[in-house]
Amino acid sequence: MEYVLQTNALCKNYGRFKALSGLSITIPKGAIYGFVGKNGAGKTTLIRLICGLQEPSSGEYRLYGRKNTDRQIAKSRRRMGAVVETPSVYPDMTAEENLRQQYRILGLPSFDGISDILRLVGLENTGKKKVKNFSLGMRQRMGIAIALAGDPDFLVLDEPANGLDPQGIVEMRELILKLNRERQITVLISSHILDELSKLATHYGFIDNGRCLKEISAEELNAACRKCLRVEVSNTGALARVLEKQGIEYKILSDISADIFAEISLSALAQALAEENAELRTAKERNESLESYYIDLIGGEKHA
Amino acid sequence: MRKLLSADFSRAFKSRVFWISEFLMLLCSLLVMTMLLQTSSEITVYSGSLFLYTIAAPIVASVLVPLLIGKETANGALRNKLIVGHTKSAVYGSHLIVSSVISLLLELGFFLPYLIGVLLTSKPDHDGWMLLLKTIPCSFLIPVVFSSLFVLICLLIKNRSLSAAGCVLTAFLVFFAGMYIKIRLQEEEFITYAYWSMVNENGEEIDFQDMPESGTVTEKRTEVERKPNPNYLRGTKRKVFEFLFDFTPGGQMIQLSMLDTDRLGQKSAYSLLLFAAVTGAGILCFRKKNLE
Repeated sequence: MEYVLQTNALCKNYGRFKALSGLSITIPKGAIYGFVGKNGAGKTTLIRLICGLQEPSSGEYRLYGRKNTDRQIAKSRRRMGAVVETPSVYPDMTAEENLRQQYRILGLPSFDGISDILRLVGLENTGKKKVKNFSLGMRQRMGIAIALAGDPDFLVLDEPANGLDPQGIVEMRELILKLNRERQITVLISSHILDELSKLATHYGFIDNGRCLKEISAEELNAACRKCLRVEVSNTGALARVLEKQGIEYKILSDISADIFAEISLSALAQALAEENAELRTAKERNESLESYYIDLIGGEKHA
Repeated sequence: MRKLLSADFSRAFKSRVFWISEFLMLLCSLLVMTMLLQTSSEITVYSGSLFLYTIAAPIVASVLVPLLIGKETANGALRNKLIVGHTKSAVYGSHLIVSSVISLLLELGFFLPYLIGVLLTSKPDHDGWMLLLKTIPCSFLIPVVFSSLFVLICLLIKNRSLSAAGCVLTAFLVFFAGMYIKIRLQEEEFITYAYWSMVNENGEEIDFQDMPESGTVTEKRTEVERKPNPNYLRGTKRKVFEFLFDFTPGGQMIQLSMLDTDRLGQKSAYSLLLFAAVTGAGILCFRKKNLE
């Protein structure tokens, strides 16, 4: 698999405070990578490091295969765009002037494509309105427009939904999905709005106290969070035979517990088990969300 | 770097504040010439007023540079340059070049109209032209040194108000430090205590109350005592002050306004040294700085 970003035991200290302590993550090409963690977990610190705003205290990262200490890392950075925390814009310029400025910074030969980017982010009708007069949502989109100048393959968005109204959040989500699907842009989104993230991400990285707790694909997460009935029985072998006969999907967890992925009648199940000389002891419906998965993960780490 | 220069110059030249500053320098030049023409029929190069730009340009630049660079640092637009692969050294270098050019343009905003005034009202002789040619490199380097200080302040201090205040304070502090050095160096070596008396035509001292109704009365200075001035700088201390007067841009500004054209090459070398030292330290600190 081709990776856009790989970090290896990345550490960043601010004085005595360890913002990142041995963070290792991998972002596959074409993914929408949801970077999940509470405030102060180290999400923005990682983004600052990969954007070249700060240097790691130890460890390394690779951007498109190039190590961060490689002199050619600038070539890899040229392929990325980012919005770190607040959108970096010139408030006394219009949307188009801001993009022209970014085109100059990138050294692009012409300003063709500016109107396309403005249309893509929905700022095509802002005319001579200065960015300082934009709403928060418009500024966020302006930030993304600047990040999109230069046609990046990798987009880094730090809390893109921050301060947006519900409509703005939906528009932002649609924009990110569009960029990922139509332009095959790999996206790294840091967020703690998990419900929103779950509608976008194809991969997740869970971070706490500067360390990556778990990396998981959306498919794996969906499987882990799938609605199911967790049952405890006296004999899981008997349970397996009953469910096989009925053609119901299940997963044996231990000698006495299993997850059943279907809506079934508990009395019918108890009767069928009785016929197999087994007993249904408990049944509990499980409907885990990304949020509860994250809480379990964080809680589990803390109790470990 | 070329791309950054293109972007930074474009932003600077589009800035209204830059053109207002240029206009201010032109206005300043016209005002000085008008004042000179009120006391004389010609404007010559042998006037300390010609070098007022070495004072005015840094002060105007101390306001303008933070507005251009400080704004970029404060609103985070600086990040856009680093994210797409420009190095911190290149970003620093680009800002330094743009600020230096802006300072030079501010100087020219004063110097060129003044020069036109000189050409229109008087014809500089060979010595006049030589004076101009000799002083231009040194005088033009002073605001460039100031620019290096302003860029360092603006890129290392994120808070825009703080960096703006820092630049203005630096400009005035350097200037007043130059003034202070000049005053200390001008102290007399001895303080002479004397009294004045009235003498008549025969040279006899007369009492104020016995002033004759006719005849000539003149004042006579009688020296009583000569004491060494405790404020007079002696030995190593004097040498240090003399060195600082030549080395610092504040001292150079004052000397030029006094038409002191001694050791101009040495002073230019000092300016270049200071510029290199400030820039080197600035780039080093900026590269280590954790940008947010």
